[in-house]
Amino acid sequence: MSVGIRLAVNLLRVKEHTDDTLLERARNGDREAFDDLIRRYADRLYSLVASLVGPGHDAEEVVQETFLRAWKSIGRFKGESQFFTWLYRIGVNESNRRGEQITRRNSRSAFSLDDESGREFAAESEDPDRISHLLQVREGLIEAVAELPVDQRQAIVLRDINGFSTVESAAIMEVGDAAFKSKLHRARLRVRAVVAPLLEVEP
Amino acid sequence: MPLFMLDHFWTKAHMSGAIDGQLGPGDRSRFRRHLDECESCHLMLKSLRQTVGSLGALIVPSDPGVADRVIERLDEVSIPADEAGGGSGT
Repeated sequence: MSVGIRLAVNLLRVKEHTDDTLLERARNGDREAFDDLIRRYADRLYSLVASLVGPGHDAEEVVQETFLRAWKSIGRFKGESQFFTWLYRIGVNESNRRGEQITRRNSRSAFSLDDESGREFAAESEDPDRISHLLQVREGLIEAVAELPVDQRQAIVLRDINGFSTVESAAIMEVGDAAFKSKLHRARLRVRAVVAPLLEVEP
Repeated sequence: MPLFMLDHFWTKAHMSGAIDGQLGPGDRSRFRRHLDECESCHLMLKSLRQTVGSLGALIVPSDPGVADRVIERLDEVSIPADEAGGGSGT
């Protein structure tokens, strides 16, 4: 079977089942069901942890370790939160475990993989001055996010960069909604303070 | 403290809530009322909104094939029978 057909078959199979069905089977030791959960969540988990520890080897290691831990402890998952919340929480904790220094070193590079992502950021314009300005804003954002305290960086990475809802983000960080909103607001204010001089805000 | 200043601090503290659409009707009215009379909060909200709107572009794209590599790794790692799947089904 060609790679393309195999991918399509896998995707169709993954879509057929709900998380609950797959979870129930995985809890009973069904690796195929767990593999389907991996196919469903690995990409988004990678994006999340890569925003925290940097892309490439570190992120992939964290993703692998996260699924390994999830597989080992899935029998103890009681379904008190959604499966993906539980999984991403393991991923965030695993990212933390890698240590503050690695996180700080890599978090800056997490967002500046190559020129391509910068060009995409500035894709709305063909004016060289405008492109240069947008890239400057992007650099400012990257610097500001990298300098945030860990809990605030997690909040902004979850909510504003990876697009999780407030409730999901709070659950992943294991904090209440109010505490999460406070961390997020402080993070946004800090980032804004850095990039505000670069933004074109007119009255 | 004058009412204007109370509203000023309150508005600054609720800007993220406003951006995320999380203010109730009463709070929304108070928020808008203050913005109408405070240029500094008005500008700050604009730049905060722009900042938040720009952050989404920093998402790190996934690495193709990561799911398959995780599955391969799980295949390689020997997990004791009583641990596999959490052991609930064994």
